[in-house]
Amino acid sequence: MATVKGGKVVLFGAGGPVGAAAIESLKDHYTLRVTDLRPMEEVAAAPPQNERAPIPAVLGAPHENRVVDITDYEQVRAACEGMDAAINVSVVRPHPVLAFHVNTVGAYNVAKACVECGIKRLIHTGPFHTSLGFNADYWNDFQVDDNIPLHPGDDLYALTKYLGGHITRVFAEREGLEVLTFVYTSFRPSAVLPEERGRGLHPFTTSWEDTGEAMRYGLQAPEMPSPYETFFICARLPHDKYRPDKAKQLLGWEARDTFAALYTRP
Amino acid sequence: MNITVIGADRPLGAALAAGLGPEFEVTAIGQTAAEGCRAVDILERDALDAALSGAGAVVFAAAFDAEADSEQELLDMAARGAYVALTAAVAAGSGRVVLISRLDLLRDYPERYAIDPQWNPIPRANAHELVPLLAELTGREIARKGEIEVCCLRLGAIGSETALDDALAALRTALTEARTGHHWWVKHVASRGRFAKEA
Repeated sequence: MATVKGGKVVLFGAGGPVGAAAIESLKDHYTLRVTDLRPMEEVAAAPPQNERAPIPAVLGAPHENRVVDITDYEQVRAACEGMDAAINVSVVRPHPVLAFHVNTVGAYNVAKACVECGIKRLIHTGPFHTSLGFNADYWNDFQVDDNIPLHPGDDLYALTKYLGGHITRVFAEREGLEVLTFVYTSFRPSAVLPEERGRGLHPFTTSWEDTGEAMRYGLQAPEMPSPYETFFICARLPHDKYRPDKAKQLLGWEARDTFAALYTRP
Repeated sequence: MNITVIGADRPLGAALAAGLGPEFEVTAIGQTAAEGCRAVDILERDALDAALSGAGAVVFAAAFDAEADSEQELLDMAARGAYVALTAAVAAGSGRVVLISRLDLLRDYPERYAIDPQWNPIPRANAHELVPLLAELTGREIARKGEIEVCCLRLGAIGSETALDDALAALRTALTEARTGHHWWVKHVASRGRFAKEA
């Protein structure tokens, strides 16, 4: 059984806003090994990724903060030792070399280390690039659900994460590692500012706060129907463009923030 | 037709570059210099842009029999190498890329199955088996944009399963045949054994 209702969880790439939200949601339920390329104290002292993005808390004992370079297999493996589950929220977007090293090879390192260390559940993450400017990107489609194959085109970020996702799929199907891949597009804070009311929003939007809770549901969910499952982690919006129904069905999670104030006229 | 073979510092790429025949004007490049093969950093876009200038078509053979000092380097070579080759070929205006892959991606299906390119690849979870998958996925997804045609030739072990002459014949056809419709297609090239058509 891959369900992880308590115990130890390692986070990779936890210095970003999704990592910050995950830390906040998990810290009272699990003992966390929080890892990033930079020391977490340095991450916490730096400006946020954007004006309203969350900054990760620096946890004290019993939690642990550790510097881990996800491109270094030995460091990744050491970070997985003794853990019950792993979460990979690492990402590099624009760099032509590091994008491959972190998003693709890093995914390999994490999946391999999970198998070697006996970890049964990995939550992997990646983007759904909804508009890449070619006809196979689903931008003009509606009622798109979690099981569609992504079409990253030649977008560096999209493609490198896509390859990393396929690597984790192979480990899931071959090695008994259960992989839940959480897919995101547009993030924003839960709170809607007065000047934002009625201005609309991207049809695939998630609050950072909800991303953290989705991690907890992902760890605690019962065994999946297949070893590799992909989930849209977003609000169910009346546009009916993207349907995050599988997260509700298999994880019991649905977004609390549905942003009615953004898509209705004030 | 001007053809650039990427990965000609490895045995298969060298054999393909040498054997294509007089109707092709071949430029052979690889990560390291070898006989008849010029050293180009095939992981760097600027270097490859210069190398592919004027190429009417490109053969990406570097993922077939790649070697590296670590699993991580091997995966990077396959994924980044395919990405750089494909995007540089698009930028150079090359009409077509032939991507050389491996039948090993399908070897774990039961032998009684009549496997063709419509079967889903099932590599094992190790770097060597993931290499051709990463190269193929990169080629397929870039082809989906419609800016270049990519033909994937899956070969078996050269000599014992896929005769070199058959690989060369399939490559010549892939470089020259007229196509319409999809920009990505896959062919299996086996001379004998379970993947051969008459098997």
